[in-house]
Amino acid sequence: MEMNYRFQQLCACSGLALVFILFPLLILMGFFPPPSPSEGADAIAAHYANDSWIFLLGGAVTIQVSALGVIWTAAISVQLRHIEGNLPPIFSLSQLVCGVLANSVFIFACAGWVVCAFRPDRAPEIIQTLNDWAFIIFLGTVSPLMVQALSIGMATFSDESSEPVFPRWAGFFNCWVAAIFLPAGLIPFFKSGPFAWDGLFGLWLPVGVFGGWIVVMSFLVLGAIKRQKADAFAALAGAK
Amino acid sequence: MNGPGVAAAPGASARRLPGEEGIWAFVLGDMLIFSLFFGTFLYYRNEQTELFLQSQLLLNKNYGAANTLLLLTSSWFVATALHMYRKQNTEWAARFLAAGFLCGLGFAVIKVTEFGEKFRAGITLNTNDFFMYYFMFTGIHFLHVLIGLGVLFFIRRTALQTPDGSGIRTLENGATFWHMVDLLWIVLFPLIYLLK
Amino acid sequence: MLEDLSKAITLVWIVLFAGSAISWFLVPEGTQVTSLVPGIAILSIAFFKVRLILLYFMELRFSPQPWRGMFEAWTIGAWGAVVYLYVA
Repeated sequence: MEMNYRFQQLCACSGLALVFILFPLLILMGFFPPPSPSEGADAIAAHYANDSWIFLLGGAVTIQVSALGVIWTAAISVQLRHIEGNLPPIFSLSQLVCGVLANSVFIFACAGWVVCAFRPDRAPEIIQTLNDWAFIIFLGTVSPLMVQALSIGMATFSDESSEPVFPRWAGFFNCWVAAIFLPAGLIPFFKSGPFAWDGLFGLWLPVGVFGGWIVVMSFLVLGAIKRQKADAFAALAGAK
Repeated sequence: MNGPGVAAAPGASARRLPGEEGIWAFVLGDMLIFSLFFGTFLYYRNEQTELFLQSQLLLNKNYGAANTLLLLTSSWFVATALHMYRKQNTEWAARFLAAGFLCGLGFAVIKVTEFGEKFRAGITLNTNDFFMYYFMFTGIHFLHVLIGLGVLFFIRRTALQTPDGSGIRTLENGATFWHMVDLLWIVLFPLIYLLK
Repeated sequence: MLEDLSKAITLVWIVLFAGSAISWFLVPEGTQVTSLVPGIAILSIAFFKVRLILLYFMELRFSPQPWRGMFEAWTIGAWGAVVYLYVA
């Protein structure tokens, strides 16, 4: 039983690990902010040609970070299961699938960075295409994240027990987070300005809030696991 | 302005937040984002003032003004509905919530008409920076209106299902969200349509 | 039903309506920006209306701190930022 709770805690912490690996990598690769969508192909190609090893490293690690994201999602689903009890597991399932979908972005988008840097002497147009692909998917795939957050929010609101798994404010917080992700879905329409992938509403706010959301949820889940573990062991001791 | 007709609102002696803290945190968060919108608009307006002024002439102020009055009135309906619900007058509360909903629906109809006219005239959010902000900010606000319509529908149903007054928290939560939608337009309209 | 109508709410609605009307007539013709005063007035009226909605429709008047304070702070802060940027 100990092992189960330990692994749950590990999964919850993997979200923190994700944030503390991903953000420094993004900074290392010079993606905070990313090269502007209005830059020309030659300029983009030059980005990847200089110190291409940084992009190979950053991209390769980011691809693997997806595993951290999905087990973190699983840890949350376990908590949503607690809220659901014997009711049909709709919240935990929808959160789970959305989380998996959202994390797949790390594989399918961020591989673009690796490919760009893999053979830097490719034609600049090809590199620009892959760069566009990477950023549009990485930053623009918002609906899985939004629905993931909304699932958590709805589940939290549905919690009628005397000791709720998550505090009520977490429900509203998740709704707010989902709203913040929304504008990033519009980055395909802009090559400059605050709604483009290097803009305030396309990049800074959603990515910043994404990081904050993961940190907040990780701590909430860890708190819940701690309570559940204590209850479980107390029940075990009481039964003896 | 302590009008004698202030219904069973929380008395001056017992300070109380309508609904629950969570919705107020959400509202504050949303208002903070919109204040970023306001600031962003003005910042870029300073860089291209002439363009913004010229483009603004293409906007239909009458639609905007009508929308303002519709939202103000809908907020009055919703606030009054809450007073009635607190006084156990559930039937009238539901009617007034429906009236507020209809006003919001009117806003939506005008908005869609307005956007439609722009599109048919070949104006889109990529036409220039002014129109980018116009469509994005009023569009995101419009999304809030649509969500708010859903909220009003839901709380009206709650009101009818809880004539004993037990649904007050839900009603207050919903009303708070709707008033926020109104309040945001109160700033957005003069900022984009009227400011010279 | 009539006894349920809160007079304060209705009075506030009238003031809001009036504020909208005043703003409407303050708008200069065409694109002539000879003075920043109408603009500042329009923006200030807008935030005054926001405050009325917060205090009366949303019942912040009866609400405890820190909530009332936070929303008053937002109102003043946003008004200040908006006027500053407009004038700058």
